[in-house]
Amino acid sequence: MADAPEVTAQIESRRRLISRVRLKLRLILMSLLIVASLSALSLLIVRSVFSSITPSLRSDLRWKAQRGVAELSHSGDFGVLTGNLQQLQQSSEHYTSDADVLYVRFRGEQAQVLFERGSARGLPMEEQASEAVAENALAFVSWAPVVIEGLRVGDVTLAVSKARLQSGAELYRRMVILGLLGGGAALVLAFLFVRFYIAPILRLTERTFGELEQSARAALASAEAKTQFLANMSHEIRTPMNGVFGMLHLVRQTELTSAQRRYLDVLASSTRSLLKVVNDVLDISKLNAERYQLLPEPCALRDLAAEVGTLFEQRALEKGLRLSVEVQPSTPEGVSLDTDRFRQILSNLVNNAIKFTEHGAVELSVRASPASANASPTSGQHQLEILVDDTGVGIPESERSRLFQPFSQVDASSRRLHEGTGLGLAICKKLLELMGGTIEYLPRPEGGSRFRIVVPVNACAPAAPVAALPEAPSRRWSCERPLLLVDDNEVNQLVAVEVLEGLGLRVDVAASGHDAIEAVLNGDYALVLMDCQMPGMDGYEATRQIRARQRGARVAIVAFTAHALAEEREKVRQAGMDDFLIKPLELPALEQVLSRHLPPAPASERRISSRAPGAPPPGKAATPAAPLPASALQSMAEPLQPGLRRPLRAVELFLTRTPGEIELLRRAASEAEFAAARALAHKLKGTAGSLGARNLAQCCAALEYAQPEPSAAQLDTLLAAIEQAYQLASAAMRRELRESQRPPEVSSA
Amino acid sequence: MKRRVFLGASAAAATHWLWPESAGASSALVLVPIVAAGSPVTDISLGTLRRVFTSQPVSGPGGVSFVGFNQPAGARERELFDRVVLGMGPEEAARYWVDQRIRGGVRPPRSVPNVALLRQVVVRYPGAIGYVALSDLDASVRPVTINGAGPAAPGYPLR
Repeated sequence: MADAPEVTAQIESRRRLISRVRLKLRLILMSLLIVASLSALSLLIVRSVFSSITPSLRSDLRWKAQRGVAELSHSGDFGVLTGNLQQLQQSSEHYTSDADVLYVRFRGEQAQVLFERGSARGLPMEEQASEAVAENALAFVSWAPVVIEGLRVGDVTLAVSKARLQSGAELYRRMVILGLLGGGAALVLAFLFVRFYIAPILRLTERTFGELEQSARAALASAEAKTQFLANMSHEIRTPMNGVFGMLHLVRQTELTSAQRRYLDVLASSTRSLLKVVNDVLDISKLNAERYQLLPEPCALRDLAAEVGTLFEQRALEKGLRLSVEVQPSTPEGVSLDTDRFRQILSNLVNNAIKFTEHGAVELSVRASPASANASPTSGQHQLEILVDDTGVGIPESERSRLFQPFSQVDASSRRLHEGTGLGLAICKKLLELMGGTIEYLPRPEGGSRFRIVVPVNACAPAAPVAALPEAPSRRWSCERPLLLVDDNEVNQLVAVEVLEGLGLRVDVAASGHDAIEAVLNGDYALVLMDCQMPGMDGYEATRQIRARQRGARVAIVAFTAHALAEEREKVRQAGMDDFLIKPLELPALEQVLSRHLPPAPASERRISSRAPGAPPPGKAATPAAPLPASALQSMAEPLQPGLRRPLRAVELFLTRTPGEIELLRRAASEAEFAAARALAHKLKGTAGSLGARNLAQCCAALEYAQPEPSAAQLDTLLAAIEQAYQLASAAMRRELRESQRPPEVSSA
Repeated sequence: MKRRVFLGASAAAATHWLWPESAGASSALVLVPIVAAGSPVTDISLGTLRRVFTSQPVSGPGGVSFVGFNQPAGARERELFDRVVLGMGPEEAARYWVDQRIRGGVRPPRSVPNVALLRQVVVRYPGAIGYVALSDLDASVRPVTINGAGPAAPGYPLR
């Protein structure tokens, strides 16, 4: 199947083609219609012309008959009187030679015919009163007495042909017929053209277009499913990692041997690497799917550069490298940037530089120049230029072409020295492209590498200084009011409560959106950590209702979610939340959030640990957080394995409630309430996962994330699998319970 | 060759002296009033002629109204006749008739296109009086004396 962008491009191309074809066809059809219209118009014109000419011609001929007979009666009077044929011939010569005159006759006093020219056949020859004109289809016939000095000496008759009128009418008839035939022919041609030429083309193009659209929809659905899958996987991976990070943090605060602490450091490092891999894969997928949305905000460039320097200072020191950060004075204090993404880019470059440099120095330098000559340093557009220089091994010329390609590393062999996904530079490049910037590699003549970034930015007021650093020692928070943790997942509740209490904070817990609203409206909280995805009322709706109903001081609400997509950030902002905390919960991120929303503790209480990496653990009295109870530790996301200890209360609760929840799930499925079924599956998945019932959790996840909506038969299969997994898990748990209640065997030895 | 025409034995005897044969052969134009051969009119006064040719109603013998027929305008006969009878030259005569037309007066006598037709018209039209050159006389019409004088008489006005 083609990629969605490719199919979209094909569709656009076909759409343009169809538009062109349609345009041409429309033009041809229009031409034919114009021909038909012109024919009709010509007919109208001809009709109009003939309508005006015919009466005039008719009048002329009638007048000719009247006038002619009057003239003849005068000029031929002596001829009539004398019976002089020659005289009559001369008198009527003018008329007898006229093509319109059909008949001339002079008669004497006794009505004897003296002179006659032409044929009177078919003419109305009844004697008329003087001045009267008789007519029939052939002619106008006029008669007059011939009078000399009052004496009637004869009469004269003149017939003027209507042939000219008839020929005009005939011409008009022919033109009408021709016009009608022409117009009709044009219409018939238009019909035939549409029927046999246009219609098949349109049918073909529309069918092709329909097929393409179908392909596009399928491709887009596939891309959507991929993105959804990525989001789900991100959620799925981050949720258990929340537990891992939390436990790591808590375990580090227990008494450990130096070996255990080393192991924990390795574990923490590996976990962070894993998280980075997950984040990288997620980022590149989103960037490739063009679903990445930047969130520009005021960014204090100097602070950001300093933060990146501080982040990697320790690592540089460990490798014996000199890391320097230089920001030129012309650089604006504040610029509009997606700070997180820009930090990601700088961190990636500095991290790479340190990674591939064994001796010497790594230098991060920032400078900016106004995009136009008249822009001031504190306002307007700037070109931000960032150089990351190192004295490392450099990059061979042959490898430079694939430097910014995804999944490509300069040393891709299985024996490579440096770990990593090979996605970092590709992500940097795509992020910079989104920002309208560029990145390029420049080899340094003296050895080493230089990466140069150029980004157009708008200067703005600087942002608040960046808060605490990730690896900064924990500090104690002094807050009179409690925090409210809203999470339906008991494991997450446990971890977060322990961590927060460990920081000296009091925490209340709400397990649903409704409970959260009640608690916030009736209580006084310094901060709310709101899980976004909860059954029933989710965190977004709960926040909206709190914002709508809360009177008095506005409580800060921080989204606490395992969804890391950029859309999620926008969604929580729109719901009215103030900040964003991604699961798994990491202490530095938590402390950054807390620092933004809680008042700082008195100086004497602030630093609660000055433990350096590898230093012995602090004494119990100095440790702010009590060691996690064994039951809590045992309830972490461990797989359901024989011998694994689980909290007794949680297991009992699980065994008591789960059959009812499965029944509810089945009922929701049977009533086609798929959203409700999805929410129930989500909840059961969390509980099962926390107790290590992984099969059950996976079955629930399959139902929760089923795309598209499963059919009834598929739902039955999923429900059967869930029930079966529950039966197995519950049997195993009961077995564990029985074994745990059995008195310990005393060794006979 | 010109013929002498006698309209009747009595009339011919009575007027023989008036119409010498040689009279018509003279080169000078001499006009003769004519009527139909059967007309009882043999003599007419110059004043009667004037009234007839100015379209005044004039009754002849037997109560028949005289109707004058002119020669066409521009003909020598017409010019001489108008000058002698009406006392007007051609232009004066034309103006007179235009004036009459404008004032709604009488219309001029009809002009007959040629002498032959004039003779026929005089013959066929009751009460018709025309005039022709002495040389154009024929037997179909009767010449009329003017105040008793014929063309050969001294003081004959139409010459």
